[in-house]
Amino acid sequence: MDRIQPPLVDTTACLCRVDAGLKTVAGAKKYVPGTKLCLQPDIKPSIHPTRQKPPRDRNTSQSPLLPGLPDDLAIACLIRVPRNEHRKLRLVCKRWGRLLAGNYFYSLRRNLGITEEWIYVMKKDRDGKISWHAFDPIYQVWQPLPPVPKEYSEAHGFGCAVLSGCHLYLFGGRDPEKGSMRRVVFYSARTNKWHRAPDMLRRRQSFGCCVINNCLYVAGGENERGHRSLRSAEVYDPNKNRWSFISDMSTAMVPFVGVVYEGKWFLKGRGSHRQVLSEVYQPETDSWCTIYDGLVAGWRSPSTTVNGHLYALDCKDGCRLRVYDESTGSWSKQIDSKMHLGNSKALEAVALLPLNGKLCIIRNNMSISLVDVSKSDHGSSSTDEHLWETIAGKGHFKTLVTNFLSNLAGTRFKSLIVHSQVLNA
Amino acid sequence: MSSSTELTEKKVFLLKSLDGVIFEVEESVAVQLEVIRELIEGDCARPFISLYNVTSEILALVIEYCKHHAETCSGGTSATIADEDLKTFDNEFMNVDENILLELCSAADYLDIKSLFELTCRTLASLIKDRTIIEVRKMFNVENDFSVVEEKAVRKEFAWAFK
Repeated sequence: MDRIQPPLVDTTACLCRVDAGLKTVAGAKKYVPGTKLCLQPDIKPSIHPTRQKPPRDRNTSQSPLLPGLPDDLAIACLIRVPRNEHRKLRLVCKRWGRLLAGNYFYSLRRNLGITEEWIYVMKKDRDGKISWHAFDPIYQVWQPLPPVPKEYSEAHGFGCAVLSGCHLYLFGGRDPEKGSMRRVVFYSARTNKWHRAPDMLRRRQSFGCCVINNCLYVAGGENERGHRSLRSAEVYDPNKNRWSFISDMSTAMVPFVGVVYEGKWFLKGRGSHRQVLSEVYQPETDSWCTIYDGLVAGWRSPSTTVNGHLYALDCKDGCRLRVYDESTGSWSKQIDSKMHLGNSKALEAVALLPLNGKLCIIRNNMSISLVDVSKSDHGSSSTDEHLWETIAGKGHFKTLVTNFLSNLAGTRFKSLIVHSQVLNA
Repeated sequence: MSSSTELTEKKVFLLKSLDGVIFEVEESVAVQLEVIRELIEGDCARPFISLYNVTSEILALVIEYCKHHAETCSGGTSATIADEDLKTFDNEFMNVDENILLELCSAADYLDIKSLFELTCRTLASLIKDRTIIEVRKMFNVENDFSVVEEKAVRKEFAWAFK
């Protein structure tokens, strides 16, 4: 019986798994190789889509989403409910729960242009534990999130990037027990769950990463074995769901800063002899070039682009920004709030992100400022203080004063931010 | 009737609601109802237009809304003042109970009035805000079909959120 199973399946005419069904169907013995088994009505009818749901009327008799409204209109109302209420909507009834759990709901929101951007902050506490929180900038509240997967709960040097606007990926890094990882996981802001994605091709930690055209690029870093830095680089395309190698970098490096500007990826890091190196990657030609001046000259702090302009932090606490001047090829312009906060670790600005056309500065104490860079004339006026706006104070976690005191007392700050991203849903 | 309206300067159309009440509306108001604009363009709007899905109570509200919007837009006031005015009017106009809102939403969809549809959808969505799950169920008359075990399971999935 088992012997004749494989030829029974006519793969050209059948999409169902007959081999599994055969074992349970008595009549299968009569079959001769080559017949189109799956078309026989008496064999496992349940795998045929047309027969899958005989009690169709259950669909029509189920209660409407909003009594008094046809379902399509009810959905039109529900998709307009602000994002911070979505968790509540799921608990109203089963049908609302199912609607909110599907991609359909969020693709409608995207098509209508009513998705909301939230800021996601991942931090590491004193014991090395990773935790994360989301901040809703409209209602100005912190939101709880499902814990990061176990492999990442104490990891070091892992990458973090956003694909398709709503998927936050964690990849590579070093697990304290297992060492360097190839692992990739992602969180969907739509389903509010973590999922697994294909592993990277190489184990790596402390590498550089970026997203260009919704493809995730990783390069360099280290591999635990022999503590050698890596030259290799790879790309993940979520549509193909596959990693593939791209050209190696000219020199192996452990990057410490990187940014995408005008479709090119700029990376600066340390080579195997601790020397500082800079390279630029062009995806169209799949080529790396070593560079020595222009954008990389004097560049060392977190950077990002907003509306095509490139900005970098110019002061530890994020009270001053530098703007890259394309015409002179240098970081010659500044935006200065003239509101220096202090030099403590807690007040250190760790990330710059674009948020609704503004520039978002995130500090270690979870305070967040927005800078309306579009209103800046890039340094010709004496002060740009009015451009700064604090959206998340220190109140939720630890006050400025206690931070300041704990710093004075010489105790280490409670936690440090390792990654920050913006997700749309 | 139709011959006398054609003589006056402003064209008038007659709308008949589900319960047989006839409303007289000017063209500037009628064309905001996309469905009726099509009928007018196709010259099928005589002697009156029957709207089978809208009761007189709701149709009166819809006409009030369209009238105000038509007047404000053609009033010659500056755009910002008109905008402000419409906003205040819309807020007032939406100050009705949920059942009327649901009917208005459905009527706006049927009559194809985009601005009113958007307004009612947004208002219904905002009703969910600031209400507990139980209040939302009660307001919209949605039955809680979760069994105790199922509700527990959903809450468990979000356990980190209800800590």
